[in-house]
Amino acid sequence: MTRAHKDELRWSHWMSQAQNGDESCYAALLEELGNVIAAYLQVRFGSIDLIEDCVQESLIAIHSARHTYDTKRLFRPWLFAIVRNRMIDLLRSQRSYKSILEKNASGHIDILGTPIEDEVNKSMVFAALAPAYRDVLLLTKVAGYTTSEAAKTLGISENVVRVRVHRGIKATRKILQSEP
Amino acid sequence: MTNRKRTDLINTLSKDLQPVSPRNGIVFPALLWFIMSWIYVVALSLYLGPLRTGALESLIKSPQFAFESLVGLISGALFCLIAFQEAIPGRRHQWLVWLAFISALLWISCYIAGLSFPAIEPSWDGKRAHCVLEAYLYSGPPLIIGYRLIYQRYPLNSLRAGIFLGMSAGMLPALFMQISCMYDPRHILTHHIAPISIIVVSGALLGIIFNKRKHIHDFDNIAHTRH
Repeated sequence: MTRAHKDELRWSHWMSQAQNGDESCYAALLEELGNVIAAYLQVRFGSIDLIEDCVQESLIAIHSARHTYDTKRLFRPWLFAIVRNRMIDLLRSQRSYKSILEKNASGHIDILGTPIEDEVNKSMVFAALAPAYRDVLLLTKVAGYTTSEAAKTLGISENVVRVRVHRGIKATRKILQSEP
Repeated sequence: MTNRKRTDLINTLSKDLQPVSPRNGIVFPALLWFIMSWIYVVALSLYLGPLRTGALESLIKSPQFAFESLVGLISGALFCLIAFQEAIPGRRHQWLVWLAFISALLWISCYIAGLSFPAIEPSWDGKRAHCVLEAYLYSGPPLIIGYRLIYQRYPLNSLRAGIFLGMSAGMLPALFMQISCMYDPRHILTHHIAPISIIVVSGALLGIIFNKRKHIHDFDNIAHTRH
Protein backbone atom coordinates (compact mmCIF):
# COMPACT_ATOMS: atom_id res chain seq x y z
CA MET A 1 0.00 0.00 0.00
CA THR A 2 1.49 3.35 -1.05
CA ARG A 3 1.71 6.37 1.23
CA ALA A 4 -0.81 8.26 -0.91
CA HIS A 5 -3.27 5.37 -0.56
CA LYS A 6 -2.78 5.29 3.21
CA ASP A 7 -3.39 9.05 3.35
CA GLU A 8 -6.58 8.62 1.35
CA LEU A 9 -7.92 5.96 3.71
CA ARG A 10 -6.99 7.94 6.82
CA TRP A 11 -8.47 11.23 5.58
CA SER A 12 -11.61 9.50 4.39
CA HIS A 13 -12.02 7.78 7.77
CA TRP A 14 -11.40 11.02 9.68
CA MET A 15 -13.88 12.93 7.54
CA SER A 16 -16.44 10.19 8.01
CA GLN A 17 -15.97 10.53 11.78
CA ALA A 18 -16.10 14.33 11.49
CA GLN A 19 -19.45 14.07 9.69
CA ASN A 20 -20.66 12.23 12.79
CA GLY A 21 -19.37 15.02 15.04
CA ASP A 22 -16.01 13.60 16.22
CA GLU A 23 -13.99 16.69 17.22
CA SER A 24 -10.60 15.05 17.71
CA CYS A 25 -10.63 13.29 14.33
CA TYR A 26 -11.69 16.53 12.69
CA ALA A 27 -8.94 18.56 14.37
CA ALA A 28 -6.36 15.94 13.32
CA LEU A 29 -7.70 15.99 9.76
CA LEU A 30 -7.60 19.78 9.47
CA GLU A 31 -4.12 19.90 10.98
CA GLU A 32 -2.82 17.42 8.42
CA LEU A 33 -4.71 18.97 5.51
CA GLY A 34 -3.35 22.41 6.43
CA ASN A 35 0.19 21.13 5.94
CA VAL A 36 -0.72 19.25 2.75
CA ILE A 37 -2.41 22.32 1.23
CA ALA A 38 0.54 24.56 2.16
CA ALA A 39 3.00 22.13 0.53
CA TYR A 40 0.78 21.80 -2.55
CA LEU A 41 0.60 25.56 -3.00
CA GLN A 42 4.27 26.20 -2.27
CA VAL A 43 5.31 23.85 -5.07
CA ARG A 44 2.97 25.64 -7.44
CA PHE A 45 3.39 29.29 -6.42
CA GLY A 46 6.60 29.53 -4.42
CA SER A 47 6.89 31.09 -0.98
CA ILE A 48 4.36 33.90 -1.09
CA ASP A 49 2.23 35.31 1.72
CA LEU A 50 -0.92 34.46 -0.17
CA ILE A 51 -0.36 30.78 0.60
CA GLU A 52 -1.16 30.97 4.32
CA ASP A 53 -4.32 32.97 3.50
CA CYS A 54 -5.31 30.33 0.99
CA VAL A 55 -4.62 27.49 3.46
CA GLN A 56 -6.89 29.08 6.04
CA GLU A 57 -9.62 29.93 3.55
CA SER A 58 -9.43 26.37 2.21
CA LEU A 59 -9.85 24.99 5.73
CA ILE A 60 -12.93 27.16 6.20
CA ALA A 61 -14.31 26.01 2.82
CA ILE A 62 -13.63 22.37 3.79
CA HIS A 63 -15.56 23.01 6.99
CA SER A 64 -18.50 24.51 5.08
CA ALA A 65 -18.46 21.71 2.50
CA ARG A 66 -17.80 18.74 4.77
CA HIS A 67 -21.33 17.39 4.26
CA THR A 68 -20.65 17.01 0.52
CA TYR A 69 -17.80 14.54 0.88
CA ASP A 70 -18.77 11.00 -0.08
CA THR A 71 -16.75 8.49 1.95
CA LYS A 72 -17.06 5.95 -0.88
CA ARG A 73 -15.10 8.25 -3.17
CA LEU A 74 -11.50 9.47 -3.29
CA PHE A 75 -10.68 12.33 -0.95
CA ARG A 76 -8.04 14.13 -3.04
CA PRO A 77 -10.23 15.21 -6.00
CA TRP A 78 -12.75 16.69 -3.54
CA LEU A 79 -10.01 18.41 -1.50
CA PHE A 80 -8.01 19.88 -4.36
CA ALA A 81 -11.10 21.09 -6.21
CA ILE A 82 -11.78 23.24 -3.14
CA VAL A 83 -8.15 24.37 -2.80
CA ARG A 84 -7.83 25.33 -6.49
CA ASN A 85 -11.10 27.24 -6.28
CA ARG A 86 -10.03 29.17 -3.18
CA MET A 87 -6.63 30.01 -4.69
CA ILE A 88 -8.14 31.35 -7.91
CA ASP A 89 -10.71 33.34 -5.91
CA LEU A 90 -7.93 34.87 -3.81
CA LEU A 91 -5.91 35.77 -6.90
CA ARG A 92 -8.98 37.35 -8.44
CA SER A 93 -9.91 39.35 -5.37
CA GLN A 94 -8.96 42.99 -5.17
CA ARG A 95 -6.93 42.52 -2.02
CA SER A 96 -3.21 42.98 -2.50
CA TYR A 97 -0.77 40.68 -0.89
CA LYS A 98 2.64 41.77 0.28
CA SER A 99 5.52 39.45 -0.35
CA ILE A 100 7.88 38.19 2.32
CA LEU A 101 10.57 40.28 0.67
CA GLU A 102 8.61 43.47 0.93
CA LYS A 103 8.50 43.11 4.68
CA ASN A 104 12.28 43.22 4.71
CA ALA A 105 12.55 46.14 2.34
CA SER A 106 11.74 49.75 3.04
CA GLY A 107 10.34 52.16 0.52
CA HIS A 108 10.06 51.13 -3.09
CA ILE A 109 10.10 47.43 -3.92
CA ASP A 110 12.16 46.20 -6.82
CA ILE A 111 10.95 42.69 -7.42
CA LEU A 112 11.71 42.18 -11.10
CA GLY A 113 15.25 40.97 -11.72
CA THR A 114 15.85 40.08 -8.07
CA PRO A 115 16.52 36.68 -6.41
CA ILE A 116 12.90 36.77 -5.20
CA GLU A 117 11.67 36.82 -8.75
CA ASP A 118 13.97 33.90 -9.57
CA GLU A 119 12.58 31.94 -6.62
CA VAL A 120 8.94 32.53 -7.52
CA ASN A 121 9.64 31.89 -11.19
CA LYS A 122 10.89 28.42 -10.32
CA SER A 123 7.48 27.47 -8.92
CA MET A 124 5.34 25.23 -11.11
CA VAL A 125 2.62 27.73 -12.02
CA PHE A 126 4.81 30.78 -12.56
CA ALA A 127 7.29 28.74 -14.62
CA ALA A 128 4.48 27.57 -16.89
CA LEU A 129 2.98 31.04 -17.40
CA ALA A 130 3.92 33.24 -20.37
CA PRO A 131 6.39 35.97 -19.28
CA ALA A 132 3.87 38.76 -19.93
CA TYR A 133 1.33 37.21 -17.56
CA ARG A 134 3.98 36.15 -15.04
CA ASP A 135 5.31 39.71 -14.66
CA VAL A 136 1.91 41.31 -14.01
CA LEU A 137 0.84 38.58 -11.58
CA LEU A 138 4.17 38.82 -9.79
CA LEU A 139 3.82 42.57 -9.38
CA THR A 140 0.10 42.84 -8.59
CA LYS A 141 -0.53 39.62 -6.65
CA VAL A 142 2.81 38.85 -5.03
CA ALA A 143 4.50 42.23 -4.55
CA GLY A 144 1.25 44.10 -3.89
CA TYR A 145 1.65 46.77 -6.60
CA THR A 146 -1.39 48.73 -7.69
CA THR A 147 -2.41 48.52 -11.35
CA SER A 148 -0.89 51.93 -12.10
CA GLU A 149 2.38 51.08 -10.31
CA ALA A 150 2.64 47.83 -12.25
CA ALA A 151 1.87 49.63 -15.51
CA LYS A 152 4.59 52.22 -14.78
CA THR A 153 7.16 49.55 -13.86
CA LEU A 154 6.46 47.46 -16.97
CA GLY A 155 6.06 50.47 -19.30
CA ILE A 156 2.58 49.46 -20.45
CA SER A 157 -0.88 50.98 -20.05
CA GLU A 158 -3.14 50.20 -17.06
CA ASN A 159 -5.70 48.57 -19.35
CA VAL A 160 -3.07 46.19 -20.67
CA VAL A 161 -2.15 45.31 -17.07
CA ARG A 162 -5.81 44.56 -16.25
CA VAL A 163 -6.21 42.39 -19.34
CA ARG A 164 -2.99 40.52 -18.58
CA VAL A 165 -4.00 39.94 -14.96
CA HIS A 166 -7.36 38.55 -16.11
CA ARG A 167 -5.74 36.30 -18.71
CA GLY A 168 -2.95 35.32 -16.33
CA ILE A 169 -5.47 34.12 -13.73
CA LYS A 170 -7.36 32.23 -16.46
CA ALA A 171 -4.09 30.58 -17.53
CA THR A 172 -3.31 29.76 -13.87
CA ARG A 173 -6.68 28.06 -13.50
CA LYS A 174 -5.98 25.99 -16.63
CA ILE A 175 -2.55 24.97 -15.34
CA LEU A 176 -4.01 23.87 -11.99
CA GLN A 177 -6.92 22.03 -13.59
CA SER A 178 -4.70 20.22 -16.09
CA GLU A 179 -2.99 18.35 -13.26
CA PRO A 180 -4.13 14.76 -12.77
CA MET B 1 -1.29 35.17 8.96
CA THR B 2 0.82 32.81 11.01
CA ASN B 3 0.71 29.12 11.87
CA ARG B 4 -0.45 30.14 15.34
CA LYS B 5 -3.54 31.61 13.74
CA ARG B 6 -4.03 28.45 11.70
CA THR B 7 -3.98 26.41 14.90
CA ASP B 8 -6.53 28.77 16.46
CA LEU B 9 -8.68 28.43 13.38
CA ILE B 10 -8.54 24.62 13.51
CA ASN B 11 -9.40 24.65 17.21
CA THR B 12 -12.39 26.91 16.61
CA LEU B 13 -13.64 24.92 13.62
CA SER B 14 -13.41 21.60 15.44
CA LYS B 15 -14.82 22.87 18.76
CA ASP B 16 -18.45 21.86 19.41
CA LEU B 17 -18.51 20.14 16.02
CA GLN B 18 -22.05 19.26 15.02
CA PRO B 19 -22.84 16.09 13.08
CA VAL B 20 -23.91 16.76 9.49
CA SER B 21 -26.18 14.80 7.19
CA PRO B 22 -24.15 13.95 4.10
CA ARG B 23 -25.55 15.52 0.93
CA ASN B 24 -23.15 14.05 -1.57
CA GLY B 25 -25.36 12.39 -4.16
CA ILE B 26 -25.82 13.79 -7.64
CA VAL B 27 -27.96 11.41 -9.69
CA PHE B 28 -30.77 10.96 -7.16
CA PRO B 29 -31.41 14.67 -6.40
CA ALA B 30 -30.97 15.54 -10.08
CA LEU B 31 -33.43 12.84 -11.15
CA LEU B 32 -35.87 13.80 -8.41
CA TRP B 33 -35.77 17.46 -9.43
CA PHE B 34 -36.12 16.60 -13.12
CA ILE B 35 -39.12 14.30 -12.60
CA MET B 36 -40.88 16.59 -10.11
CA SER B 37 -40.35 19.57 -12.43
CA TRP B 38 -41.85 17.60 -15.32
CA ILE B 39 -44.85 16.66 -13.21
CA TYR B 40 -45.32 20.32 -12.28
CA VAL B 41 -45.03 21.48 -15.91
CA VAL B 42 -47.39 18.81 -17.25
CA ALA B 43 -49.97 19.27 -14.48
CA LEU B 44 -50.05 23.06 -14.71
CA SER B 45 -49.99 23.02 -18.49
CA LEU B 46 -52.95 20.63 -18.65
CA TYR B 47 -54.78 22.72 -16.07
CA LEU B 48 -54.31 25.86 -18.17
CA GLY B 49 -55.19 24.31 -21.52
CA PRO B 50 -55.49 21.09 -23.54
CA LEU B 51 -52.79 19.38 -25.59
CA ARG B 52 -52.69 20.10 -29.31
CA THR B 53 -54.94 17.70 -31.20
CA GLY B 54 -52.93 14.85 -32.73
CA ALA B 55 -49.67 15.94 -31.06
CA LEU B 56 -49.04 12.60 -29.36
CA GLU B 57 -49.75 10.72 -32.60
CA SER B 58 -47.14 12.89 -34.33
CA LEU B 59 -44.51 11.50 -31.96
CA ILE B 60 -45.15 8.06 -33.49
CA LYS B 61 -45.95 9.06 -37.05
CA SER B 62 -43.15 11.59 -37.64
CA PRO B 63 -39.60 10.32 -36.83
CA GLN B 64 -38.24 13.88 -37.25
CA PHE B 65 -40.73 15.23 -34.69
CA ALA B 66 -39.89 12.39 -32.29
CA PHE B 67 -36.16 12.95 -32.85
CA GLU B 68 -36.24 16.69 -32.08
CA SER B 69 -38.34 16.00 -28.96
CA LEU B 70 -35.95 13.27 -27.79
CA VAL B 71 -32.83 15.41 -28.36
CA GLY B 72 -34.43 18.21 -26.32
CA LEU B 73 -35.32 15.82 -23.52
CA ILE B 74 -31.78 14.38 -23.40
CA SER B 75 -30.25 17.86 -23.51
CA GLY B 76 -32.49 19.07 -20.65
CA ALA B 77 -31.54 16.02 -18.58
CA LEU B 78 -27.84 16.59 -19.28
CA PHE B 79 -28.02 20.23 -18.17
CA CYS B 80 -29.79 19.11 -15.00
CA LEU B 81 -27.05 16.55 -14.33
CA ILE B 82 -24.15 18.98 -14.85
CA ALA B 83 -25.90 21.61 -12.69
CA PHE B 84 -26.05 19.14 -9.80
CA GLN B 85 -22.46 18.02 -10.49
CA GLU B 86 -21.41 21.63 -9.89
CA ALA B 87 -22.89 21.34 -6.39
CA ILE B 88 -20.30 18.81 -5.21
CA PRO B 89 -16.58 19.73 -5.27
CA GLY B 90 -14.47 17.61 -7.59
CA ARG B 91 -17.38 15.90 -9.34
CA ARG B 92 -17.57 18.00 -12.51
CA HIS B 93 -16.92 16.21 -15.80
CA GLN B 94 -15.93 18.57 -18.59
CA TRP B 95 -16.93 16.07 -21.31
CA LEU B 96 -20.50 16.05 -19.95
CA VAL B 97 -20.56 19.85 -20.15
CA TRP B 98 -19.50 19.68 -23.79
CA LEU B 99 -22.07 16.96 -24.47
CA ALA B 100 -24.84 19.07 -22.93
CA PHE B 101 -23.97 22.10 -25.07
CA ILE B 102 -23.59 20.02 -28.24
CA SER B 103 -26.99 18.39 -27.63
CA ALA B 104 -28.56 21.84 -27.05
CA LEU B 105 -27.07 23.11 -30.31
CA LEU B 106 -28.35 20.01 -32.11
CA TRP B 107 -31.79 20.59 -30.61
CA ILE B 108 -31.93 24.22 -31.78
CA SER B 109 -30.52 23.18 -35.18
CA CYS B 110 -33.49 20.83 -35.60
CA TYR B 111 -35.85 23.83 -35.55
CA ILE B 112 -33.60 25.98 -37.74
CA ALA B 113 -33.59 23.14 -40.27
CA GLY B 114 -37.33 22.87 -39.66
CA LEU B 115 -37.81 26.38 -41.09
CA SER B 116 -37.18 24.80 -44.49
CA PHE B 117 -38.04 21.16 -43.70
CA PRO B 118 -40.61 21.11 -40.86
CA ALA B 119 -41.18 17.81 -39.05
CA ILE B 120 -44.95 18.20 -39.37
CA GLU B 121 -47.08 20.64 -41.29
CA PRO B 122 -46.89 24.05 -39.50
CA SER B 123 -50.28 25.29 -38.40
CA TRP B 124 -51.96 27.49 -35.80
CA ASP B 125 -53.86 24.52 -34.35
CA GLY B 126 -53.58 24.40 -30.56
CA LYS B 127 -52.05 27.90 -30.27
CA ARG B 128 -51.90 29.01 -26.65
CA ALA B 129 -52.66 32.68 -26.16
CA HIS B 130 -49.84 33.38 -23.68
CA CYS B 131 -47.29 30.64 -24.32
CA VAL B 132 -44.31 32.91 -23.55
CA LEU B 133 -45.71 33.89 -20.16
CA GLU B 134 -46.60 30.27 -19.50
CA ALA B 135 -43.00 29.31 -20.22
CA TYR B 136 -41.81 31.62 -17.41
CA LEU B 137 -44.54 30.34 -15.10
CA TYR B 138 -43.49 26.73 -15.72
CA SER B 139 -39.76 27.23 -15.37
CA GLY B 140 -39.58 29.77 -12.52
CA PRO B 141 -40.53 27.60 -9.51
CA PRO B 142 -38.41 24.60 -10.63
CA LEU B 143 -35.45 26.96 -11.08
CA ILE B 144 -35.78 28.39 -7.57
CA ILE B 145 -36.34 25.00 -5.91
CA GLY B 146 -33.52 23.43 -7.94
CA TYR B 147 -31.10 26.17 -7.01
CA ARG B 148 -32.05 25.77 -3.36
CA LEU B 149 -31.15 22.07 -3.62
CA ILE B 150 -27.81 22.93 -5.22
CA TYR B 151 -27.03 25.63 -2.66
CA GLN B 152 -27.65 23.15 0.18
CA ARG B 153 -24.58 21.35 -1.12
CA TYR B 154 -21.45 23.42 -1.90
CA PRO B 155 -21.25 24.77 -5.47
CA LEU B 156 -17.72 26.03 -6.07
CA ASN B 157 -18.93 28.00 -9.06
CA SER B 158 -22.42 29.24 -8.23
CA LEU B 159 -22.72 31.23 -11.45
CA ARG B 160 -22.06 28.20 -13.64
CA ALA B 161 -24.45 26.07 -11.56
CA GLY B 162 -27.16 28.74 -12.01
CA ILE B 163 -26.63 28.94 -15.77
CA PHE B 164 -26.79 25.14 -16.21
CA LEU B 165 -29.90 24.83 -14.05
CA GLY B 166 -31.47 27.77 -15.91
CA MET B 167 -30.90 25.94 -19.20
CA SER B 168 -32.55 22.81 -17.87
CA ALA B 169 -35.47 24.66 -16.25
CA GLY B 170 -36.01 26.72 -19.40
CA MET B 171 -36.04 23.66 -21.62
CA LEU B 172 -38.84 21.95 -19.66
CA PRO B 173 -41.69 24.20 -20.89
CA ALA B 174 -40.07 24.61 -24.31
CA LEU B 175 -40.23 20.85 -24.74
CA PHE B 176 -43.74 20.45 -23.43
CA MET B 177 -44.96 23.27 -25.69
CA GLN B 178 -43.89 20.94 -28.50
CA ILE B 179 -47.10 18.99 -27.88
CA SER B 180 -49.22 21.54 -26.04
CA CYS B 181 -48.90 24.60 -28.29
CA MET B 182 -49.01 25.15 -32.06
CA TYR B 183 -46.29 23.60 -34.22
CA ASP B 184 -44.31 26.00 -36.36
CA PRO B 185 -40.49 26.05 -36.13
CA ARG B 186 -40.47 29.85 -36.38
CA HIS B 187 -42.94 30.15 -33.49
CA ILE B 188 -41.01 27.54 -31.48
CA LEU B 189 -37.74 29.43 -31.90
CA THR B 190 -39.18 32.83 -30.99
CA HIS B 191 -41.81 31.91 -28.37
CA HIS B 192 -40.62 28.67 -26.76
CA ILE B 193 -36.83 28.59 -27.12
CA ALA B 194 -35.96 32.31 -26.91
CA PRO B 195 -37.47 32.66 -23.39
CA ILE B 196 -34.86 30.14 -22.20
CA SER B 197 -32.31 32.98 -22.36
CA ILE B 198 -34.29 34.92 -19.72
CA ILE B 199 -34.42 31.83 -17.51
CA VAL B 200 -30.67 31.33 -17.94
CA VAL B 201 -30.05 34.96 -16.94
CA SER B 202 -32.32 34.43 -13.90
CA GLY B 203 -30.31 31.31 -13.02
CA ALA B 204 -27.08 33.29 -13.34
CA LEU B 205 -28.48 36.02 -11.07
CA LEU B 206 -29.47 33.41 -8.49
CA GLY B 207 -25.92 32.09 -8.76
CA ILE B 208 -24.43 35.54 -8.13
CA ILE B 209 -26.75 36.26 -5.19
CA PHE B 210 -26.17 32.87 -3.55
CA ASN B 211 -22.42 33.11 -4.21
CA LYS B 212 -22.35 36.33 -2.18
CA ARG B 213 -24.36 34.61 0.56
CA LYS B 214 -21.87 31.72 0.55
CA HIS B 215 -18.97 34.17 0.93
CA ILE B 216 -20.80 35.96 3.76
CA HIS B 217 -21.35 32.58 5.43
CA ASP B 218 -17.66 31.69 5.06
CA PHE B 219 -16.70 35.19 6.23
CA ASP B 220 -18.90 34.69 9.31
CA ASN B 221 -16.93 31.52 10.00
CA ILE B 222 -13.68 33.51 9.82
CA ALA B 223 -15.06 36.29 12.02
CA HIS B 224 -16.35 33.72 14.48
CA THR B 225 -12.88 32.19 14.77
CA ARG B 226 -11.34 35.56 15.56
CA HIS B 227 -13.52 36.32 18.56
